[in-house]
Amino acid sequence: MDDTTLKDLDAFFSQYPIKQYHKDQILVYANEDPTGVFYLVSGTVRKYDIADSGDEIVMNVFKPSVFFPASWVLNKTPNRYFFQAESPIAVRRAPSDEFVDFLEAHPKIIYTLLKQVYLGLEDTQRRIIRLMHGDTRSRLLFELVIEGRRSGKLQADGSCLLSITAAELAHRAGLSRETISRELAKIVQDEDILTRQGRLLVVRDLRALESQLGE
Amino acid sequence: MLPTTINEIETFFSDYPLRRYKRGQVLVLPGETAEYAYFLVAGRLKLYDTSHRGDQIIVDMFKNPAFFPLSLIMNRSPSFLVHEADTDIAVRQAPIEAALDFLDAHPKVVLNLLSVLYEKFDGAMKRMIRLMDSSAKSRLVYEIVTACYQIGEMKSDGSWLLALSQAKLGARIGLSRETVSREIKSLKEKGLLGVAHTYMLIPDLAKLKRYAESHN
Repeated sequence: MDDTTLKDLDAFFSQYPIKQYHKDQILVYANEDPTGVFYLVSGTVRKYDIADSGDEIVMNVFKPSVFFPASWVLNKTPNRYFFQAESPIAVRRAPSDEFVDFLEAHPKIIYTLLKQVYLGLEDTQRRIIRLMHGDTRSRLLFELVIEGRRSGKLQADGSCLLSITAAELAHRAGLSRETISRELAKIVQDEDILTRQGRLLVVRDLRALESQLGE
Repeated sequence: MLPTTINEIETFFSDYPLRRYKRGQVLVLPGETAEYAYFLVAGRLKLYDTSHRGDQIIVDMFKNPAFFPLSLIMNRSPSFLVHEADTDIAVRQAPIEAALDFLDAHPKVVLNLLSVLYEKFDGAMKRMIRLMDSSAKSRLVYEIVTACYQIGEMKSDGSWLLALSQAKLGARIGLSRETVSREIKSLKEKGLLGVAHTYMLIPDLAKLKRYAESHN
């Protein structure tokens, strides 16, 4: 998002008190109407569904300056997902009607959001394509690229540091943790793409990985 | 889209001539940026990728009225999907700058497009979940329901007509035509849908949805 949009969103939400949540606290339960629209000030929040097998399927991970649940706010459709703190977080919460009034008065923000949601939709469509014809390796590498783009720390030498666990990658790729761990070990050992640095994963060259995947 | 949004978009595009494309003609190729902003006046468009085996993977389909490819024109990014006429189509095509000026000047249209997009986004995510965690039957039924909303036609008695081949249904969910055919036969036997020529008839969409939920 551009700086002006961020400033405007910050200014609107700053009239509401800040609230802290611990890691793993659930802000919104599936099939429950939220108490308002949340604006993430710090930390990360994941949006997920629970599969019949009981596994969590992560649909999105939000970083600061994102509001949620967006579809419920704009379309008044029932919320079907869980929103849970992935780290300690700080949020502000506003009444949804006031937020919609604010959006209507700020066309540039709506325009920026439209552009951004289209990019999000494209990521989801790419994921769908991977799920339909990608093998384990390409599904895993795709999730590393997405994580790198969204939350990775780009280094001066072009490498990218990722703070993500095998379990989190498994949730996003729809694969088991064991499969992800095995595949990660294979890639680290056999290919010049990925290394480990303590608990971090290091993608040697994010751009090269993107082009390798046709992204 | 709200009727007012459709009216505003139609009015904008009415300044530009109508162009017809035959089924199979491509409007945007992967790696290309859009040359125009389009308004689909008649027919149906499909967006797809091609697998390494050469199969089409249909990611999206829409029928008229539709304003596209908004992501490409707003983000000035190249497409990763083929945009192809799935039937003979008629479109009006406007220069991109003019379309962007129109959007700038019509915030209510943009807000409605954003609302519609959030729904589409949720739909794509649900589809992704189905792909990660569902039986072939559940994936198929979910896709039929989605396709009804996207491109189907609701009749006065509440039933739905869907003009979509079994091969195309398979391409939307990554199942072979044979699997789709087997699952459709089983749904037919349960009276949940009928098949006639190139059409599928779904007498009660809500019942079909309930069936899928109980068999996930």
